[in-house]
Amino acid sequence: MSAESRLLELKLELPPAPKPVAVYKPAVVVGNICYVSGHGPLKSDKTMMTGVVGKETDLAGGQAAARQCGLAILATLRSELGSLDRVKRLVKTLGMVNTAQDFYDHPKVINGFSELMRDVFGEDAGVGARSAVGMGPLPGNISVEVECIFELH
Amino acid sequence: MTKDGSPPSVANRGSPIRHSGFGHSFVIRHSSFVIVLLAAGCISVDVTRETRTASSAAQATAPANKAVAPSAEARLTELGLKLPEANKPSATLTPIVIVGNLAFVSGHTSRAADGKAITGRVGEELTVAQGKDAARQVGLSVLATLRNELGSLDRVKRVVKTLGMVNSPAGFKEQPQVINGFSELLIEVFGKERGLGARSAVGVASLPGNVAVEIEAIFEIER
Repeated sequence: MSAESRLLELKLELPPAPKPVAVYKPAVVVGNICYVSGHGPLKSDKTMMTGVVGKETDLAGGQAAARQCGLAILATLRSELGSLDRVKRLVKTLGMVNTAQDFYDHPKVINGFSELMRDVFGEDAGVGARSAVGMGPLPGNISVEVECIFELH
Repeated sequence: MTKDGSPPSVANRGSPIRHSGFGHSFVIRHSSFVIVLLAAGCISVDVTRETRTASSAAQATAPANKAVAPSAEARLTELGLKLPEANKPSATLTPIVIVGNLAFVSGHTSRAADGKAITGRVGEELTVAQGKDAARQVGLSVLATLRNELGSLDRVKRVVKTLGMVNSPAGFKEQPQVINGFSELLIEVFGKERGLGARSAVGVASLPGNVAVEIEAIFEIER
């Protein structure tokens, strides 16, 4: 099943494709590789999900933020590529979690993003290489920032 | 931004980056080179052909007794290095993804030879030397993943880019010395020409399970 049909089936609502807030592009395509900038958890109402995970928000809040980063990235990909069906696979993810110093469950937080990619692109194409790390602080105190690389058809 | 206001892309000079913002300076010499080739169009294709021809000719006339760089597998044996068990894929990540001639390796965390996580903040609970050892252990894990996927480390052409993340407190400045533990291992195994790549070494607020070091990397491989 195509990624666009999966999106419909899962009834996922994408936020508006985020506009750059500084001097960078949301995505750059080089050959068959698409480099996606760090995306924050942008909601459909154009606000961001904020708060330090493990302090101002809990694990579930962090996971929801990571998933929202994924929806924002899908919006960027569709805007850049015309259709998500041009994505061949997810290659690599760097998931950055805004954490308290004693928070150690970064992988569980970033699973919020990774599970969304798996649901949309499938168990093979939607699962890639990944790093999950704690960053503090993040711009605007957003809870999660995710950058990634996709292979295109 | 770094604390002293220097740009994030010069992280190897020793300033900790607590975060790198939305727009990352993502520099891969390899892809820049590709862009240059594309921008130059047909001319660059001709140049590439000429270079190939020249290099084949040079190989053909090279003296037979010229020292050949030892293979990475041979070096590993020579150094007596034992690789740990390769990381296993999970439901949400795979340790490595190959696209064309590039291998993208997931962030690998510091584990001792017995598989136990090496934990603690470098510069607080661990010394720089212990952090460096942890980074070297990450390197052994990455080599295990590469061998597991590629069949042999001899398929690795070169390391392209490394992102080394050190679990370290604010004020700690020796992330590059820590990540050298990883980079020096790659040089021992692949040689200076192929084992030295672009690199960023940064301090992060926390890492999964409080591990000391996490490193992700990109390698060029023989297809």
